[in-house]
Amino acid sequence: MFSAPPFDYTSCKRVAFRFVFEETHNNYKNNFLPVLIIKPARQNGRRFKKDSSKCHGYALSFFDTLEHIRKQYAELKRDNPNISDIIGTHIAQGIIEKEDGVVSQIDNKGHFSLHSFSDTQLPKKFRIVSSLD
Amino acid sequence: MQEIVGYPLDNFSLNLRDIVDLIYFEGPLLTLFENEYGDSYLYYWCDVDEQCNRWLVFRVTRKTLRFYVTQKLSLRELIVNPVDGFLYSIELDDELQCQRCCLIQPPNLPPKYIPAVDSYYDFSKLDPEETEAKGLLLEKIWDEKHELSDLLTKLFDKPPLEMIDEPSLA
Repeated sequence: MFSAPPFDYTSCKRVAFRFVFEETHNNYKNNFLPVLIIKPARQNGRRFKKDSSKCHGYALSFFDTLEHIRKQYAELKRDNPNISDIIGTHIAQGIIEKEDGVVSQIDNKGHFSLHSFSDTQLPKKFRIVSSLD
Repeated sequence: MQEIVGYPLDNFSLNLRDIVDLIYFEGPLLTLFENEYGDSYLYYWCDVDEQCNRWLVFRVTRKTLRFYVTQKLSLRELIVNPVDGFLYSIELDDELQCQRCCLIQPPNLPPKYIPAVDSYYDFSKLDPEETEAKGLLLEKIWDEKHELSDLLTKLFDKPPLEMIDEPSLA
């Protein structure tokens, strides 16, 4: 498995928000799995052809504030009204600790990526704080 | 998945090449493809179940694509007024094999498949990790200059770059 994070990722403590499915949903088990773990066949597509891109396929998306993640959801929903069927139906909040992995810089939409370490138990660190609709 | 009313096809016969993801969030949501003649098609993600993702596939002209990325047309307008008058609905499994395909007319689209009135594009929707995306997109929609260059090359046997690139002194 190719999982080396980019060199500019760092370990730090950070409050984080993520789109998730609630416990009763079929996709609940995938809440904290990166896209290339859930769908390994995607490695062969154009998007993950380069090693540097492949590495992003093993990262998880988070936002730094509730406001930013809600704004992102509103933007995604404008284009794809059905979007919650694929990204999640709820927002979960948690704290990423230094020992959980390495994170990217926060971008201007409040988004950042996490490459978690293999023994990190993210589902135990996050709880649902809001429904999306 | 939503029920859809369409004309079933035995298979999806278009031979399309993936160019760039226009909207991306943990996966492609709107992707530009082209066929062997350079015609552009958009793949619009619209639904999912345990086996497949459903995509609407429809042709766009260079002009409508340019109008979309420059916010003169919304995604909704592209989808409810497709150039060919219909859209393909295709269901792709995890191996990207097409399991079902049909032709669908815009009035038969489920409401949840139709973007909002203000579904205008902006470049922040491109995947920031895809470093070549902007260049690929620009090349696809603003290539009049290349067409002119090709024409001039044919006329003069060599690329008359000075005729194209020289800045105007006016």
